[in-house]
Amino acid sequence: MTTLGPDALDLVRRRVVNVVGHELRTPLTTIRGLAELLADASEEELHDTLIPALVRNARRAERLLDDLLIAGEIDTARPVSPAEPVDLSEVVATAVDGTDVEVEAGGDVPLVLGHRDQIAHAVAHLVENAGQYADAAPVARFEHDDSTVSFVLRTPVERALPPAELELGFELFFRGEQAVTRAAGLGIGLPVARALARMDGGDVTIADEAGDVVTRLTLPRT
Amino acid sequence: MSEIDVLVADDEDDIRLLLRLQLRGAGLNVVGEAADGIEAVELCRTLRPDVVVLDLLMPRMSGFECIPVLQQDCPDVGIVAYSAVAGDFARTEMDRLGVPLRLKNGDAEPLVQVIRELAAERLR
Repeated sequence: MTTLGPDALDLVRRRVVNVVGHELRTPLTTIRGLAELLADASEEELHDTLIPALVRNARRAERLLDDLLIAGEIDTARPVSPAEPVDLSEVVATAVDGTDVEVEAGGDVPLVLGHRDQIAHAVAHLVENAGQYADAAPVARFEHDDSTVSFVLRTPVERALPPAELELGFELFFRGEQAVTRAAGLGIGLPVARALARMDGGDVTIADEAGDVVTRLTLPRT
Repeated sequence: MSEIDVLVADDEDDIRLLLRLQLRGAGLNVVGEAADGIEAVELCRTLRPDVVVLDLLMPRMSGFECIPVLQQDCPDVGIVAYSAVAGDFARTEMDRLGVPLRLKNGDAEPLVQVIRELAAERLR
């Protein structure tokens, strides 16, 4: 393991605080701003607009906290309930609803063994990542063998990602060159998805295949 | 009715919603909304607002990329960068481009103030 010197540690600390602060700022700005408008809002505006937006942003801040705990491998993030059979195809169908992701038709997808919420959380990160950087509609499919089921997501990108970025994608708070100025984000989607998959005995990998970015979430079959 | 027309450009739906309500509450006209830099440029060309409130991190075309295009194509439109990012890079770039930077915050007053200042400069 590489040991960081005081200067490098300070740099990492500042970077972590900076990106976490940045990501928290959007939901908190919205929550505070909308809360200050509540008193003067009409009944209709309250129920149709303000309250749903407040709940949405509170959930976003909550999810950020969950992600940080998962990424930091904090014990609180580990599930307390036992694993159970999960229909991965249903989880994916829910996650891609309303996105550009196309799911290839295929045969029945075997059930996996895990925690539905965690798996849905991991899939959501992979779909979100693909949506942010895709230059054409990402395509999803399922693969399975005797012991595992995989959700494979192929994302066309105009410029192939440098190999170093593929490797660094699983580093906490790493954000690719194209991501830095194009979209907000913590740079923890892939490590969080991998940590969640590994809690259920699976894994997430990423590869360049003919210029497309392919992420693969693999989980044990029931 | 206010005489200041504002275009809001931010990829976050809820930030656009918040700005729409806050700016309207401050008596400003939100005449359009853009979800990325490309839409912001298109809407600025067609709507010719007095001021555009511009997020810096957006898909397709970032605020950083958008500003020189707007300054070239719509030199009469005031620009304020409204961002959750206010690190050294963003500050230096906004200084270089001559664009005021305001940090996203639940308090709309600093943003409203700079919008009014930019609109007043435009009338001079």
